[in-house]
Amino acid sequence: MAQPHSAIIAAARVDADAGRTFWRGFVGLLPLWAGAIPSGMAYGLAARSAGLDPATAQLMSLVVFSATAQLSTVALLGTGVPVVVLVATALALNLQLLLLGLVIGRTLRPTWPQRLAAAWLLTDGAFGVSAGRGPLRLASLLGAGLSMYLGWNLGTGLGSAIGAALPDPHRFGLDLVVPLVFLAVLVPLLRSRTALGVALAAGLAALLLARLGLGSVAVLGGGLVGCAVGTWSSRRSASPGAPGR
Amino acid sequence: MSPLGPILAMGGALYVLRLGGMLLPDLTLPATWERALGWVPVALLSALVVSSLAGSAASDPRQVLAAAVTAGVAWRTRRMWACLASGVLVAGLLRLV
Repeated sequence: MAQPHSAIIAAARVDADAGRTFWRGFVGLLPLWAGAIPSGMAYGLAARSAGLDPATAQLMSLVVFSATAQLSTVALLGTGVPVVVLVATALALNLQLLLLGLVIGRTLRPTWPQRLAAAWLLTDGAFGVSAGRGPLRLASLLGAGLSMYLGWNLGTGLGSAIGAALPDPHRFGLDLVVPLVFLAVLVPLLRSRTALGVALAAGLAALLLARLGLGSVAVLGGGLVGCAVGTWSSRRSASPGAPGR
Repeated sequence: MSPLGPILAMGGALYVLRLGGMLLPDLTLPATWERALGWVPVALLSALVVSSLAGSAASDPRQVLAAAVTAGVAWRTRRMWACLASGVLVAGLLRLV
């Protein structure tokens, strides 16, 4: 008699604990809203400049849920750039998610429903917040993920609303927000000479491709060149006796 | 062409990418690949900055100045809202001149 009873209590305790962990993840990510809301707004404005209606702009934030992928492709939607190029760009910009998924799969061994839910909400920010506070837990990953999902979509809605109210976004310098978002994310990553070299190589290659009229693959090509330079030079400096890194 | 198709295609591809890692927990990548993947964010973001600026900067070189100010603010503060506010402000002021 007592056994099922105590099993229920234990299950309830696990549930309450998971609930607390979920909220810890949710609240822990809130500081990142300071980045998510403005970049979500920038995307909303960019979508309006690209001629997307607010509902379609919001749909993209709900199903794609990636700042870099959305900001880099939104202006290309409906311009005749092949879908393959758009998908390849979105994937390349998010390759790190594959690595995060590998870590989650190894450490948590999630069940199928857990995988399907976690894959919907996985971002770098959510992973960083939940892995940065003690051992990685699925509940905190989901909490942080949902928090980012809400912040990003709220920012998108705000940006769409502001964009719809402005007569001409170009007059206010708002067409510049997309490169500015990328710059704001990039600059803090340039912490070593190698990183600076990678950025320069990738930027120059992208510029060259754009000048040659290959603008639609400038991002992928530049990225490829940058990665090659980084891999080559970090292998060199990783050899014994070499300075740095 | 309706934007819905590309949007759903990108969403589906990213969902599979997010799921993919969790389905292959025992996969180990060669060290060179892991190192190359580590440079993906820096390389792609830099290419994105250049390609998103390239079109407009050719017609309006003042945008490069606004971008430089933003890069400086990003270096000093690392705050998204401060970067966007300063960049848009500088671009707006330069257009008044």
